Amino acid sequence: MGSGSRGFRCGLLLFALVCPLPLPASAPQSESDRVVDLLARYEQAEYPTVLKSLDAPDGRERLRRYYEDAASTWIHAGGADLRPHRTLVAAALALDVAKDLKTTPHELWPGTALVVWAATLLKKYAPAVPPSAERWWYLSAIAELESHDAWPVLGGTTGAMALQAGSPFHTLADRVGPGGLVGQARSRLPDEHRLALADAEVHERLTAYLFASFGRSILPNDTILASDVAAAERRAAAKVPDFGTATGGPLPDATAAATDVAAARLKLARVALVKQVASDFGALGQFDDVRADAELHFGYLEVRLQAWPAAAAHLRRVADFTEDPHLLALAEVFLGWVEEHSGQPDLAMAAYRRGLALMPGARTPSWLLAGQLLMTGRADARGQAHEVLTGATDRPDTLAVYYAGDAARLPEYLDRMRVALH
Amino acid sequence: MRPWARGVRCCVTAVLGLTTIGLLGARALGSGRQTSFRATVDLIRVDTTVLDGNVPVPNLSAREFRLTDNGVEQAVQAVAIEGEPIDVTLLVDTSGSTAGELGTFRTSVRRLAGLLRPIDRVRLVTAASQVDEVFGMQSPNQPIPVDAIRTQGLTAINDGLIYAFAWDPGPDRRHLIVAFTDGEDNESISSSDLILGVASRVDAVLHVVLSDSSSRSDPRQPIPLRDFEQASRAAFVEAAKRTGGEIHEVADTVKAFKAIFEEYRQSYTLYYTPHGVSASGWHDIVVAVTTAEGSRLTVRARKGYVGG
Repeated sequence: MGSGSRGFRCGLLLFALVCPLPLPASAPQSESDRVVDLLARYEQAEYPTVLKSLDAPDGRERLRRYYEDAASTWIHAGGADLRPHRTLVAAALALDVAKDLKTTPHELWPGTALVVWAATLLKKYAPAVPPSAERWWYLSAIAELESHDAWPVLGGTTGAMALQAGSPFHTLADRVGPGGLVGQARSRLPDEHRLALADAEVHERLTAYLFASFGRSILPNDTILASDVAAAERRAAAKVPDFGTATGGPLPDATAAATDVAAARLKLARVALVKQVASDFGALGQFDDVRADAELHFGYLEVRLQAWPAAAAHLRRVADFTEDPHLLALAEVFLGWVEEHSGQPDLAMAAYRRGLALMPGARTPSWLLAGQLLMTGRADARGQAHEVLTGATDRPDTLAVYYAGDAARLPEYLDRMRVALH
Repeated sequence: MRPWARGVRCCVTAVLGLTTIGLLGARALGSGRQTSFRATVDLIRVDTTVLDGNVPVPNLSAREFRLTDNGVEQAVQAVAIEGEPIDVTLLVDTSGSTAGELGTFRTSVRRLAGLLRPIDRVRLVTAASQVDEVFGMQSPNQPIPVDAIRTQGLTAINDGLIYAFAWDPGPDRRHLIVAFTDGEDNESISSSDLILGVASRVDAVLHVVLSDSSSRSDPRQPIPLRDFEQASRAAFVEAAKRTGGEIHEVADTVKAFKAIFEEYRQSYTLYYTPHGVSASGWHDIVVAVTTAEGSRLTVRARKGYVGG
C-alpha cells in the first residue's frame, strides 16, 4: 500500500471520527425502533431530518406512546459515561415531540407527561455542572408548559401554588416535586434571572381574572377593583347558616353557601398574592437582562389595580431596556389603556397606534383604537376606525399570550437548545 | 375634537351644492319654501320614528315636530322621509350560545336581503370569538354567500357592534344596524361603557332582535346568566335605545326584520341647527309630535349627541 493510499485511509478515519456520517435512511421496524433511530440522529445533530419525520401526519402522536420506554433503554445502553449526555438528548427530543402534540377537547395537553418524564430523568442523571444545553432545555420546557397553562407543573402545588387547588395537572405536578419545574430549574441554575422571572409569572397567573369573565381579552376582564375586593371580604366573612342535613349529607343550600364562602376566601388569598408578585417583579427590575419584562409585568399589575400614574411610569420604562417587539407592543397597548382611563384619549390613540405598528393587524389594539376614534364623534375618525378594523387579522393576538410567559420565545429557545446540545 | 355634527355639516354642505342635499323627499321646511343652508352652520341629524301603536305615522311636516336640545326648543329645518336609500348592517351573534338558531338564520338571510329595495345595500357581520364581515356592503340583488357563516365558541358581540358603528354610509344614505343576539358578551375587547359612549355619538340606528339563550338551551334547566353577561345584555339594550332603536324579543327573525325595516324606511330624519345651547358637552335631545294625536303617538329618536 502506498503512502498516498495510507494517507487517504487515515484521512477517512479522521473524517469519520470528527464528522459522524448520517445513519442509513432505512425504515425502523417498530415505533420503539423509530424512537431509537430518531434519538441517534438527534444526537448526531441531524435536526432537519428528525423534525421532518416528526412533522409527518401523526408523527408525534405515534411516537409519544413508545417514547419513554424506548428512550430509557437507549439512555442506559450507552453506559454510565454517556448517560448524562444521552439523558439531555432524550429530554431535548422529548420537547420537540411534545411541542405540537394535539390537544383534544377535555383532555390535558398530552405533551405535559412527556415534559414531566424528561424533567424527572434530568433531575436523576444530569451532570454535576449544568451544561449550556441544560439551561436552554429548562427555558424551552418552561415555555412549552406556559403555552399550555400547566401552572401546577411549573410552580408545584405547595405554598401559594396550593391556591390552585383541584387542577387536573396536580397528579403530574406531584411527579415533578414540590417546587415544580421552575423550582427544579432554579436549583440547577440559581443565577438565571429568566427562571426567577418565570417563577414570578407563575404566581402572577394565579392572580389573573379574579373578578371577571373567562374571556381571553385581558384588559377589560382583569381589573381588581376595591369594591370587588370589599364584596369578596363580606362574602368570606359570612357565617354558613345551619340548614340541617338530608339523609347522607348537607342540604344543597348549605353546600352552596359553604362553597360561596370558600370561593370568596380563595379569591382573597389570591388578591393578597398580588402584593408579593409585585414585590418579586420589583426585585427583578435590578437585572438588566429581565428588566424590560419586570417593568412590563409590574406596570400591568398597576393597570389592574387602576393605579394609573404608577402603571404609566413602569410601562414607559420598558422601551429603555429592550428592543423586543413583543414586549414593546404589550407596553404600548397597556399604556394606551392607562391614557384612555386617565382622560387622555389622544395619548391613548397614539399609544394604540404605536402598538399596532409593532403588531400589525392585532385584534386588541385594533378594537381599542377604533373605539377611541369613534368616541371622538368625528366623521373622519369614523372612517379611520373602519380602516383599522378591516385591517385586523384573525391571527392570535399578542395580548392573548401575555399570561403565557415565554411561550412566544419557544422556537428560539428550542433552536438554541439544539445548537448547545451539539 | 369635533362631533358628528361637524361631519354632518360638511356632508350636508357638500350635498347642498348638488341641490338634492341628501334630503331626498325633504319637505315642509318651516316656512314652506326651500331652505338655503349656509356652509358655516352645524347641522344635527336626528332619525325619528313615529308610531301609532305599531303603525308608522306618515306625512308629518317639520312644523309638526317639537325638538329640544338640552331643554331649549329648536327649529326643525328639514324633514327627510322614505326616499333616502338605506345601508343595512346585519350583525349576527354566531357564538355557541346561539348556534341552535344559526341554521334558521342562514336560510333567512337571503329572505332578509329580499325585503330591501334596489336602492338599498346590505352587509353581514358575524360576531363570535372574533368578528368577521361575511360580505361587504352590496346591493340586495347580488348573490348572498350564506355558507360562509360559521359558529365559534365565545361571544364578542360588543366588538361586532363597534365594527358595525364604524361604517360610514356617506352623505346621502342612512345606516340601519339590526343585531340578532342574546346580548351576552364574554369575549369582547370593547367594554359595555364604550358601547354606550359610541352609541351616543353615531347617527346609525340600532335595533336588536334579542333571543334568550338560557331558555333556548334547555327550558327545563335554564342556565343562569353570570353577572358580566347580564351587564352586557343590559348595556346592549340601552345602546339600542340611545340610537333611537328598539329591542324586539321575537322568535321569527324574518318577521322581526321586516317590521324593523318597514318602520325605519318610513321614519323621518330631522335636521336642525342648535341655538341657545353651549356647543360642547352632552346634549339631550327630546322629540315630540305636536299634532292633536301627538300625545298618544310613540316617538323614538336618538337620545342626544356629544358636542365639540
